[in-house]
Amino acid sequence: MQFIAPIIFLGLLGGLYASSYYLNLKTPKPEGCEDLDVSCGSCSISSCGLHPANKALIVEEKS
Amino acid sequence: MELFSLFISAIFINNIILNRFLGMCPFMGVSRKTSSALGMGGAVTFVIFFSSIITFGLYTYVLDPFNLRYMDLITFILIIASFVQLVEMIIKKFSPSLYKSLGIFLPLITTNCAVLFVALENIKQGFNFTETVVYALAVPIGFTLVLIIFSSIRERLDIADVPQALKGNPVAMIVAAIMALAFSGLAGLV
Repeated sequence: MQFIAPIIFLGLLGGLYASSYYLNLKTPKPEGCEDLDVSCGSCSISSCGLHPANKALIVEEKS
Repeated sequence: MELFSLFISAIFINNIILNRFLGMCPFMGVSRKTSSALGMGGAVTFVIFFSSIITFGLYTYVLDPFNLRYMDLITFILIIASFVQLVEMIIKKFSPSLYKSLGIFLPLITTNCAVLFVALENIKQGFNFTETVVYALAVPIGFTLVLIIFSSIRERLDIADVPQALKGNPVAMIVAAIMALAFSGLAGLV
């Protein structure tokens, strides 16, 4: 019981997150927001995936 | 009276942004327009308030009695992440303009350390339910207040004659520093 309880609890929480994520994913985006371009220029963290330099790199890798 | 002190100090004296320097990402990122700042403040208030109440209940009635206290961090993170998904869903459905203006900062509430801080602080300080509710309401009010003040200053800065080298984020950081100094002057209030 000592080992099973945390696993069950974690499974429930994971399930809660997965279901909320799935429901959010299934909710259609509003009109005009389908291709919402992320133009984040707020900070200078170069390791962030949204940094313009990294964004270009990711697109390049995908293609 | 103690609850009132807790409320006032969480808003003005121990302000989450200007005193504890948490939630700096939305503070700098969503403070360009007052309308976006207001929307972000509302979304963060919703998430902090309800996630704090749920995490408090989970800790008191599940984690503590079953000796699972060491799982508090992972539990709180998953609860907050689920709540942000819910908020995003609601905003998508009912306020497309807000969804557009918040952009990437909406899912980023998940990683807003201010939300996790409140959940953990409620436990660390040993707050009872009433204190948790007051604290979970006061902290995001302080967050929203500072965000709105800062965004209105930034709107004015856009039309002001700022030296080229200071335009944008540098002058915003200077303003933030002056605001932090001003708020630290309220330290003797309560």
